[in-house]
Amino acid sequence: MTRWLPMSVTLMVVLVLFSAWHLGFGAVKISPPDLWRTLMHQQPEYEFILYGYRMPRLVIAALVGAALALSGLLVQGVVRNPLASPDILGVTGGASLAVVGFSIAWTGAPVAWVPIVALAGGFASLGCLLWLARPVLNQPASLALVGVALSALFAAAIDFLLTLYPLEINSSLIWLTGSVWGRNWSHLPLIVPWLIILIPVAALLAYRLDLLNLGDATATSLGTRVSGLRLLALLTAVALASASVSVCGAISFVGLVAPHMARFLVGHRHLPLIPVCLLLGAILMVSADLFARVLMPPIELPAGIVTAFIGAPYFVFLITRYKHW
Amino acid sequence: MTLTPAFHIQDLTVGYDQHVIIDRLTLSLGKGRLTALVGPNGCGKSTLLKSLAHLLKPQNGLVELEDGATLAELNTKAIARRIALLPQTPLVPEGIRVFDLVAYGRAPHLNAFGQLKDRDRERVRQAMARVDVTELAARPVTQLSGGQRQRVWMAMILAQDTDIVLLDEPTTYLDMAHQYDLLELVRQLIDDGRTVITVLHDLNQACRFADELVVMKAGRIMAQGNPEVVMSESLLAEVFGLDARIVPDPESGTPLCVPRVKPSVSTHTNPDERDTPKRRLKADLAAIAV
Repeated sequence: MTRWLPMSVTLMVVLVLFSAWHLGFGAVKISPPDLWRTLMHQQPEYEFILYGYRMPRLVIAALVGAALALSGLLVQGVVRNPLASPDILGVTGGASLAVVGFSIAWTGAPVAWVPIVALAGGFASLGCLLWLARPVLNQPASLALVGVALSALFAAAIDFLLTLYPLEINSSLIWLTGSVWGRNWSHLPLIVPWLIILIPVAALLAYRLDLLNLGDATATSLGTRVSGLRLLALLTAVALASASVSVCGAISFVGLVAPHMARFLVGHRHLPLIPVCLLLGAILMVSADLFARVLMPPIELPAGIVTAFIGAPYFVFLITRYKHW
Repeated sequence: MTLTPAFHIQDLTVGYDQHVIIDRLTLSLGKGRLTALVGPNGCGKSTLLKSLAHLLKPQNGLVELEDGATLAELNTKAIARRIALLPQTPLVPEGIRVFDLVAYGRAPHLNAFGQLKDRDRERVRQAMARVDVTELAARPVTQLSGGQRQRVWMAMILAQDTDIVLLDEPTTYLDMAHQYDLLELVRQLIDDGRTVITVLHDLNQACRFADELVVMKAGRIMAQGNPEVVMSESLLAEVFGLDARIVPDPESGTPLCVPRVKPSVSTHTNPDERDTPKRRLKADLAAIAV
């Protein structure tokens, strides 16, 4: 309880530092003093680059990272398994499949439609998940297994379509790996309202998720309506994940890793975990996008590849450390 | 029964999916008493306990509380203010400290964010003092021994401050000394004026500590009442298929079940003659060599 505030402030500082680096780095380098003057509207020289390109990209990256991290926190709280993440519920796969199918069905469709299609795909896959898993809804581990199977099915369908129509969906490939390249202010309304609505929802569920950690029976006897809580938390998590997929495509591992780092820093209680988790997600995503550009300029890697590079070894580490099979 | 019942169960039918475990059971359980639910594995005693906490919703029938309210009418939080349940294997979140775990007992009395008021902290401290875990307050629960851990769970139940306490085999996983410590603690809850209903495996412990036994088999009540009255050799044979004598417990005078030695089984042999895998292997090898 006492540690989360200083921790959040520290993380905020880290986020600001990474953001400054992120804004300054690129084909046109902006030094920190210049950056400061531009932000203070004292120097018009870089305003176009900053406000037209880098700032929206930074903001989108941070918000998407935050949304994914919170989504992961909720999923892990519901499934009670630290290896769980929004990816395994099939939401990411469903959203991706929807986009691939859409770009085949309507070649030359306006790019602006992609996020909406992704969002619809994400929720449709949640519908599939809940329908398929309805006999095991009160067994979180089984629910996760159904999610894994669903993800595999979606991945197979995507591969199938990619082989069948290689030309039509080349552009959606970039989107699938998860990238914040070319994102602008117009993408902001796709993610901001979700965060504004769902962060308070998550805060409201936080204490009940703490109780759920004690097991279904104990949580119920302490006055928690477990099935309702589980459904609401899952819906919230899926909405957050779908919204971020709709903006950036599939970004793996942020939703898995950020909640773990947060637990390591501030413990098991969900309410203080929320701000720490949001900040960590933002930092992870901003730094991933930064490294994606720093590693081999002028080539920009999709940030999703960087998160996977960092996340996959961590995942292996986690499995070796995890004792409660 | 002349006593006020804490629970009145009428025509209760419960089960999982299509599988009915308890079929049209009617039963009253006394207030301010320690009732032990006993019976062979799979007899439905845990299922009955879960129905009393409304963890399992009845397919038919109802469970009524002292004031006539049925569990089905009350919401989960209202039930939690009146009935506490300690499940057989509660999960311990990693890294949680004793004080925080006991404080979860206050959950039914708190707002949605779970903020503890001074009064709640005081209750938590009282509960920890009652079961002697005050000095463990800052320790992670996962580092405690089985006996300490069970006391911490009892503290959580006490902090919940309910009139009725349900325990599902609270002595499992404890060594004998800790089992008796725990049961004495449970007796103290009765002295505090609470009603305790517990599933117990050990008949002799049930006879010594419980005011009333409810003996179950295959979802039915086979007997109910004071241990001295209920316990009989024929009941043991009928319910457990156990051939046993009943003698007075030399300590408490309560019934003590002592299973009879089956003539065909030797219970104790000279260690040199005992059949061990190693000896058997040796014998087999000797036979082959010959």
